[in-house]
Amino acid sequence: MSVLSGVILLAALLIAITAIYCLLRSRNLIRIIIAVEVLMKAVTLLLVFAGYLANNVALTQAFVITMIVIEAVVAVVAVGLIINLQNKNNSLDARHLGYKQD
Amino acid sequence: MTASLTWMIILLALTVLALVYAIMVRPLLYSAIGLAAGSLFLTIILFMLNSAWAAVFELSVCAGLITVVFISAIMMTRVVDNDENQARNKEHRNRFLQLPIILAAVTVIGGTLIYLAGLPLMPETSVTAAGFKEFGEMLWQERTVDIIGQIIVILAGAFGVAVLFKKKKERDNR
Repeated sequence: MSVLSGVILLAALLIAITAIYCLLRSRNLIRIIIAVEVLMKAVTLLLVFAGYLANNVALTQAFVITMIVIEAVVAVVAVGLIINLQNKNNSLDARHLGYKQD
Repeated sequence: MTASLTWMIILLALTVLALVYAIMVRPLLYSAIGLAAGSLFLTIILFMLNSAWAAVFELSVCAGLITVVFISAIMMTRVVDNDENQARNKEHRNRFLQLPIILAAVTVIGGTLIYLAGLPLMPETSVTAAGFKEFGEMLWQERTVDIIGQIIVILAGAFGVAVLFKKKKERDNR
């Protein structure tokens, strides 16, 4: 353990807390997807730092690239679904899912 | 304190601030821009941690493509009127009121623990250039199962988007 490790762990924890708080409290569907993206940033930071500590950056970079690709696909599909729901319900509120708005 | 550690702390602080801003700010357009700024600072951190390829992907995909996708989605969504906007502003402020307090408490406790522990400044790693040489081999030769999974996910995403737009087109025609 070193100061750098401590600071990176603290930053990742702060980012993860922010994202989880938003996932729990927000009702806006786009903001919920943004929170998932923010949570991914914390995971990326921790993965890369783990590779740096273990001196195996090649393996962790391969995983991070896989994660980024999947993150992009998740974001695109989620946004497509949200736009469809918005056209159907005229609302971005997660509480209105499944209910037709007048 | 070494210069690289100082820069790392500054960049980490900027990343956390940008991402907290992305979550807390009310207009979704500013949220998307905050997310892009967070990705940008994270890219520099990844470069400093010797992960150049991951950094390039983070910059091009997360700060570029995903931001464009979010901004497009925000442009396609409904614009609320002034009264509704003010009511939502108040609701949003109340909802995210506790977050800065929680983050400040965690920062103070974590910072105090790091300060009191009397740790060495940098971790003891022997980082070599070998990591860069092995990356291509690792990406294309060592991975098998996850590449198949990745292909399936990309195809599922492509088909998902195609189906969504097809349904929309059919509904518009009707």
